[in-house]
Amino acid sequence: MELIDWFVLVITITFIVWYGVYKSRGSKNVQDYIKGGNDAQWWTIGLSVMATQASAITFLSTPGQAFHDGMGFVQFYFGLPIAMVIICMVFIPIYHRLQVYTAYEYLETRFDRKTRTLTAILFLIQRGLAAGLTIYAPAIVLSAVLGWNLNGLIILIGSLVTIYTVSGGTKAVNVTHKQQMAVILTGMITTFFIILEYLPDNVDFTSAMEIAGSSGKMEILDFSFDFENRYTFWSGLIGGSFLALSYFGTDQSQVQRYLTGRSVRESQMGMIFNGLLKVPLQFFILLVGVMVFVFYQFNETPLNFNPAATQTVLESDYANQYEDLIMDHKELQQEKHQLTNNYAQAGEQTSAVDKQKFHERLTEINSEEQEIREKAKIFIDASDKNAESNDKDYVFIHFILNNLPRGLIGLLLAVILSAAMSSTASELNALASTTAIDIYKRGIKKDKNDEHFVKASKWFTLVWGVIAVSFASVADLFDNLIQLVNIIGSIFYGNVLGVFLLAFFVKKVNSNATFIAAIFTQIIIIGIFMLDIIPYLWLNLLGCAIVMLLAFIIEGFIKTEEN
Amino acid sequence: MEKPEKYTWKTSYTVVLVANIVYIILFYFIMNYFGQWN
Repeated sequence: MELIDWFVLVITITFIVWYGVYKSRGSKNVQDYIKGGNDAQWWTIGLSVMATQASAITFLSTPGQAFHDGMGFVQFYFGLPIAMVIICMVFIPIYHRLQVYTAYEYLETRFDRKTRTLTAILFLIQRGLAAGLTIYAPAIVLSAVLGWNLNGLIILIGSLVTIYTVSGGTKAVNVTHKQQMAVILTGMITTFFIILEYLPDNVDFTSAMEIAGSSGKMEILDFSFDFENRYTFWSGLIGGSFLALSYFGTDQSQVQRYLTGRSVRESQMGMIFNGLLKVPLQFFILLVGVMVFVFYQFNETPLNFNPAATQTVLESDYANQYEDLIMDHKELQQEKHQLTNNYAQAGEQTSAVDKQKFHERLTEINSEEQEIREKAKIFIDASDKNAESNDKDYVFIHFILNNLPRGLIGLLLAVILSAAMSSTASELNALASTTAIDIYKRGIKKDKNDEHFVKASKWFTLVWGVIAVSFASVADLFDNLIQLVNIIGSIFYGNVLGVFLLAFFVKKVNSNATFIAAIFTQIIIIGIFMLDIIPYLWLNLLGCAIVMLLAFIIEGFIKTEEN
Repeated sequence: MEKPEKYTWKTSYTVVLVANIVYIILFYFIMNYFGQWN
């Protein structure tokens, strides 16, 4: 990194933190601090919802995903617009009418206090762990490629977020989200056009897409019913609707974003804005990854993009075999570059037959290259079971650091740090609000004034910031941490969504039946997970189905007893 | 007896769903056009 990159990075991040603190100064009551004064317009809500969902790992991982597996991941978001419509129709009008501060507060008005407290605690456990990971995941990648101190980076990201979130609460989170989304979009759009500029003169956008297509990267839709394939049209539409409904409808880190709307209409428009733009935005981020793939059809790539994993295997007993693979990979790349450069030089004069031959040979070479990469992963895994052989998180950052012009590297690093800060800020904000409103205000100190609860919320934000940083600092001591946090999420998410669906749609089920069903469901889901009967992602759906079914049965028993 | 919630359908909901159907149709054409060499 050059001085200009440091300048761009430091100025961008410092400005965002300063702006957040400056614009939100003077929040004196709970309404201001937790609901941002209820004056957000629809576009602020829409951008804030997007910024919350887009974590740093989204911008590191998604282009890498497209580089290896193509555009199919976009299908994961197909259910999101359906969830947005349901939330606009059902969730938002009720939350606004009851003027709740948290989603769980609504459950007390519909059921009772114990159901509210239970769901709030489940949220705190799950989101508290996830907040640490949101900081840890980009920090481990940046420290590996830039050589920065891992713990130093974790403390830096955590401290910057905590400063403005403690200082200004929800208003600070909302205003910084706008700046962060502006930095993220500017960085990604500029990078996209620079990649196109870097391609050989005779390779225009259409030719680049054809090269990507011939390597299978443009297989966007998969209508098969293959359960082994994680991303299909059907899993995206059905599973995606379900996941988006639980995330946007019941997770306080998202609910808090649209509770800041100045009216029901503004909140609904914010979510519609998200439903309109999310799929094209993900398509665009994946397209950047596909263009990185096309760029590397003309330029050299490492065998594995993770420098730490490469170093590990080269220092192990498998060093000789791995070096042989590096040589095979280099020879194959030389052949590929000769082929692609000849194609680029011929330009429009290439006949249809030659074009077909070129694409066929390129497909063969890329398949052989894929096989070599898979063998390399086997050696990395064998050299150290903790080494990260899956390098998708490292592809885009490798491209950024080795190819982008001076200044833009700083901007792209600001994109990644902005994304890390935007998600973490929403999480800390939501964790503090839930602790303050659902646990502290409701159960411990009921009769204090507004000023007291603003102070308490600030302290809770600080405490959750410290917990997140502490968890991120020890995260590398655990194996498969990301999977662990996803498992914890899957164990709780379905149950909580089921409780909310009962609350919204099933009027005949009452509080005791729901609470008992939720407790039993949690025990059953933990049991199913421990017996390892089904893949953990399905626990979401199962948890939701079991809690609803049990609630019906228990309600039936209660009614019979009463009669 | 508590009154059931009344849910209102708005034009913007139709717009967001139709827009996403159009995206998927576009993806289908893009996939077929650029995947012809595969």
